[in-house]
Amino acid sequence: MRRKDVRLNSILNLNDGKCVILAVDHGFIFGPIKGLENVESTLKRALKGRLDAVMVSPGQAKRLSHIFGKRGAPALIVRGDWSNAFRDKTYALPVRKVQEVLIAHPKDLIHLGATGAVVYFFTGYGDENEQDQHYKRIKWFIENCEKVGLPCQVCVIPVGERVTGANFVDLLELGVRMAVEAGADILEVPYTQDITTFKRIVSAAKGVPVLCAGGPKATRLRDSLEIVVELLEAGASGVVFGRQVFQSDDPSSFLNMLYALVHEGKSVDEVIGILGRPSRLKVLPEKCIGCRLCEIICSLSHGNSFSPYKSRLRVEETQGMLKKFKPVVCTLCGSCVEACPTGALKLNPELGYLQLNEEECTGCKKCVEACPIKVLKFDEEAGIPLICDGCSGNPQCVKWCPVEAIVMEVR
Amino acid sequence: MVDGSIIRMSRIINPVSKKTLILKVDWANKNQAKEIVRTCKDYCEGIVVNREQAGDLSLYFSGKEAPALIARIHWTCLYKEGLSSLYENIDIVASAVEEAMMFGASAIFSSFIIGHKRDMDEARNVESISFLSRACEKLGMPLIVECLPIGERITRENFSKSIELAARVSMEAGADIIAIPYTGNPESFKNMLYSANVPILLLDVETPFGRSINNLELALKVGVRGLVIGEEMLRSLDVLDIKSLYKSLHGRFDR
Repeated sequence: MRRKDVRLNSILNLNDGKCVILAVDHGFIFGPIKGLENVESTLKRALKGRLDAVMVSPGQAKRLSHIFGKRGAPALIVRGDWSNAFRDKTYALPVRKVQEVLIAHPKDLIHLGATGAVVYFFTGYGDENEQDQHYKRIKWFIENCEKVGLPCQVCVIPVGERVTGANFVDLLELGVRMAVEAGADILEVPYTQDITTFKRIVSAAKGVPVLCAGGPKATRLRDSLEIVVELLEAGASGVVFGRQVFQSDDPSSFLNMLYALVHEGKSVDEVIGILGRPSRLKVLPEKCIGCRLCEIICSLSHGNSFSPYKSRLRVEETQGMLKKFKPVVCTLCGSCVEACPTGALKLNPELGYLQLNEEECTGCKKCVEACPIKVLKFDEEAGIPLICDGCSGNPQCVKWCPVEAIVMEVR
Repeated sequence: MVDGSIIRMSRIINPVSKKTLILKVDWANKNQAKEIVRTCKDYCEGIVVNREQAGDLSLYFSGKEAPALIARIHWTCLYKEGLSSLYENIDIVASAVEEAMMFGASAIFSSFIIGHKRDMDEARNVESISFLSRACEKLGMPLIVECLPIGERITRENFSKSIELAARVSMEAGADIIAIPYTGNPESFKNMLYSANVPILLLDVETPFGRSINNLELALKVGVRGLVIGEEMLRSLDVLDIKSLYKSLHGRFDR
């Protein structure tokens, strides 16, 4: 076992060697972009979903250590370079000549708590001397990552004057092979737009895990997910998604879908069937045995604590000789949404579950008063109501109930 | 966990009012700098000086009530003797920060210029700010970055966006405090303060599109944490003006 394998196994899932990475380092190149105006609040929303690692800049790694400094948190991948290559004409100062510089020694990234490092490797420079200098820089970085036991992810992209539609795949294949020879531990590549050419890229990687970058936001959710399935069939080891996730209405739900595709081998129809249709919880009281596992798992998945008082549902029991139990769950009646004076509470337009914008919530408790079945509680410490958000389409109470007394039903 | 940066940061940003007033005298000659520091030292939290001034003015930075010494490190000075990139010569950056620490600095001050004619210069500037930040992190030294949108690529149309870009790049590179000129647009300025998770100061630098001092009150309302006064303002203001600025920033006058 190599010494960096400890960190590498925190990025790639030990069971299947695959991963889902969320990239939120775009601000370093583009400035504030939609969905990433405030990285911390975006991350807090996204991390309710399931993922393996988050890619950030060194400045954000320094400031957001509280998010990553706990057991079960996603691995932290920190960017080790900067480039202006992607700043097109829609941004303030568009690129004139592609530049790339290293911004940290791998030791510095370890110092920031990184589990991995990521750098760009461009192929297609007009000037061969510049291409050579760029390759030397990347090689230096990878070698130093090796010395300190830090896995290095190399993002290979054909960028520059010599890139054309005809040679794009060839340049990508060349870049992948050069990155492998330099010692990359994980490769990130753009999608080549067809499965055959992508298989060539995977083959050129010689066993090094290949992840595919998500790119700009797609118009349809299904399109994005179908591409992911194609990539996995072609041998990809996972995906690196950024804008598609944090610019979506519900980042955590999107991540859950990606996770189900990558790690659980589900099909798009299955994933959309589970998560993509308006659904709600349905209770079958005759099956309930009163184990209260649903209460415990609810509080754990939402608040990281075993506290039934903080769960979004409750189990009622009848008095008498023979006790009977009945889980009481949110029926999505919408009374709380109507009562909310600031609009902080709303129903997800696509999937129908409740969503709370914590920044807009004033803690007035009107939603709690309006709840007809009193399942909505108020967290005095956090100053927000404890709403059932259906775990963004992947309800843990349904998953953990040993007797299937709580199920999902399509509305 | 308390490290040196928290202690040093509390010298730069007043822990009670959470605001700061910083003077920049690194542009001045020996006598000018001495005069400014002597008369204004009681009405500011920190003074930005260069390496030579730090020795000459050390007396004014001594004592419990003295302002914090903030050492200016020019990013261009890190590229000594035709050095094209810093990654193989990180010791140069580390030793610059260590030297500043040894003469008593409480923070490092550097510039991020946006609007360079050549993209290479912007890349080098990002590189230097990032490596400075890494060196500062190791020593628990706060890094203040002033964002200067200057150069032929800056126009009235992209002025506000360029400041937003520069501030964000500096923050992502690892700056602990950012000083920016007023964007001229209250809404964009407010959005920027919302998105920044570091203290933002208003920079007095004269721009072709209006001076920021006129907007201090407005800026304070939307959450600016202080003011950096440079050459332009120091030439036009007297000590009473500095006193009144200090008062309006901290909401009281206790010196």
